[in-house]
Amino acid sequence: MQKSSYGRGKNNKMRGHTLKVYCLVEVKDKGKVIYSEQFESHSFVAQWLQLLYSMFGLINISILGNSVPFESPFITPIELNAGSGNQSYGIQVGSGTTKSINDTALDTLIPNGNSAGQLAYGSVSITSPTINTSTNQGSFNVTRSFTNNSGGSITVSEVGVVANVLALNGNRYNILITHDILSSPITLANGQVLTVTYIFSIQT
Amino acid sequence: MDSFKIFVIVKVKNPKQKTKVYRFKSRSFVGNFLTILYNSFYANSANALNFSLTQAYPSSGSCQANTNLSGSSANPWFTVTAGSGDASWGIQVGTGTSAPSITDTSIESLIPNGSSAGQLSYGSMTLIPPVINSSNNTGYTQIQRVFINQSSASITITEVAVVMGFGGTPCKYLIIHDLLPTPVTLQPNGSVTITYQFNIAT
Repeated sequence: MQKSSYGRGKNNKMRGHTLKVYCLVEVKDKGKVIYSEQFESHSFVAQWLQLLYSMFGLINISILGNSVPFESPFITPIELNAGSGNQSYGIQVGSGTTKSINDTALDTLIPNGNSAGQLAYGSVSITSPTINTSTNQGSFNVTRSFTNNSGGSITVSEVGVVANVLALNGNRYNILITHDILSSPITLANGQVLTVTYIFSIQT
Repeated sequence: MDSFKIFVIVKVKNPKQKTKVYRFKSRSFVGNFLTILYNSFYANSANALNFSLTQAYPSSGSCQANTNLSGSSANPWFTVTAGSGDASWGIQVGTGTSAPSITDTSIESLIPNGSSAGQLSYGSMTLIPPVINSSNNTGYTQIQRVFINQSSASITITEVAVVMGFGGTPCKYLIIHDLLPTPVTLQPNGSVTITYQFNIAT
């Protein structure tokens, strides 16, 4: 039988990956990085599959967590680029400690603001994809900063990505697509800034 | 464990032979996929209005993704619903043997639709709704296509790919390209079902 020269045997394990998502969390105090951790996100939730399925086939889907249980096809872009102060989509942070595949929201969202228990949400930035043809790797970053102006400490223990999608009926829906629990909660003192970066990576 | 896994399931039926099923992990999202994902995430901004992709089909001309559309003017972004006999998009099969590259824009050597020698009859794309298992926090959805050898000669498949329809004009882009770990030979009247299974584990 004819054999392919690609993807066989032991080398197969070393050759590429499907789609990896990494989450990088950094804390800055007076502009200096005082904490940094990167981990692989394993937490796409069910709604991500629903979105893909819907878009692949222009099929009505059940949008979990919304008042309208079924939505029309033609759901178009899955926007993440929320503006400053907009906590409803993009990267979110919270103080919850549990997650499940059927999650439709963070466990306990930390709201935008400068009062006790609140963080000032920056705008979401997205870097252009970088494609490395010599290594067949590519990636882009989705980043958001959260500033503690509350006057007290705030502990962040969960992060998530919420997409804002437009349906054929003209309505927009916020759909949680990833949900991660931090291995170690991060306590932000007043004035400190937390930056969360999701890195979407492929290797062919 | 990858954040998002894709498996390829190859089911081969040849006359007078037992059905064989192969399953392997797809590792070959190509650069176009990343660009599409990026621009989907970045919708409603100036750069998302005019980004360019390297097209699989058509090979020239301009394709532009539409953003912020509503109502009847909306256009789908990630479609794979090719119909029967349409080999220009959806799941494709080919005879190429080169290792996929991140800059690939088409399958290396497409097996065209048809019933003559060197051709396969392309079925319509089928989509399997998401299956969510709450007890172990896993889920998947599938896209699938059947290819039938209606010619009088055997045909060997060595590569598979997914070409996605995208944007406001009917342009199609290669997003996944894989070589089969073991080539599949279809005898006359044999068929192969290619399934791409998209998996998550929360």
